[in-house]
Amino acid sequence: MLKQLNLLSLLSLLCLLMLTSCSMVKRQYGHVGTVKPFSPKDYHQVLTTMGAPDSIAVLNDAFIFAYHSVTIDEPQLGLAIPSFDFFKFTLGSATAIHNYHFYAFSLQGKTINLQQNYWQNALGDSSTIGLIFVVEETVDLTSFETPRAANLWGERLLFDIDLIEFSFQDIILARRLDLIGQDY
Amino acid sequence: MKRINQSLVAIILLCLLSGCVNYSRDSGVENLWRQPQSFTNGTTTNQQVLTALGPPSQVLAIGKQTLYYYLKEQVTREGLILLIYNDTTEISIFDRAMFIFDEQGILIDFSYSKLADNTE
Repeated sequence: MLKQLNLLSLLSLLCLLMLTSCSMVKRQYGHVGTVKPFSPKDYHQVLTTMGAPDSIAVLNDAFIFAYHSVTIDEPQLGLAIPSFDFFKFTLGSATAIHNYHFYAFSLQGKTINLQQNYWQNALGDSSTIGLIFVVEETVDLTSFETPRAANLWGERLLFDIDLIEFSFQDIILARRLDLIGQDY
Repeated sequence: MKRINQSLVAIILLCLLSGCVNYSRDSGVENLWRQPQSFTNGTTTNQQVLTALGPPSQVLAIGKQTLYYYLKEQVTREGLILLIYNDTTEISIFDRAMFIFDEQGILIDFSYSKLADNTE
């Protein structure tokens, strides 16, 4: 009995020391309510059922309402690094689940097309080395964190039309490598 | 036996050592449309909407109609940090309102985003 307890204790300690800081990272961008399939005649019915859209696109002879939500789950396995007590090696993978609704209307407001889609895709596997009490992201999710166009709309109107080809932010942050050290 | 007890106590203590993280940030306009407002299709003017809600995030032209789009982004992150397990959840909510006006600036239709009762 004593031997079994000893073994159990040792195994627990070993697990504790080897498996440090396993994590579950969850993210949710936006929300699209669950609605029964419906066939709207015009945009008024879509607004009533779905609420204000996530994004609006205006074309020459049509306009589009889009509703989009993304849920990301990223389970991570953290392993202790021998001789580095406060660091861990983390392996992670992420999956995104998308919910997308698309409604196109004529300029008179009549529905001309609609599509509702639900899909999931893998965002990849990766690994990091970090502190044991810090939750590090192992997968690059920056593409989901770009500011919404509506929040930049007014700011963009202030840009000099001659410089509009290159975003001011891109130049300042040196994201446009082709601009560095070259004459324009 | 005493050594085993000490080991078990140490394990339990380590498992219970925990911390919580919590942060939130907002961007965009103030979501005044969530306060009681009295907008009515066919009578409310674009001037009344501007007075009540302030400048919109975006203005769009749809044919001869004008659309005011208001957006507030709210991000909250909550996390539980334990020695052997962490759990963090970040939720981005895009609270929206849109108003469509005719050529005379009279409200044709308006809508707010549906709020989630609970997160997916």
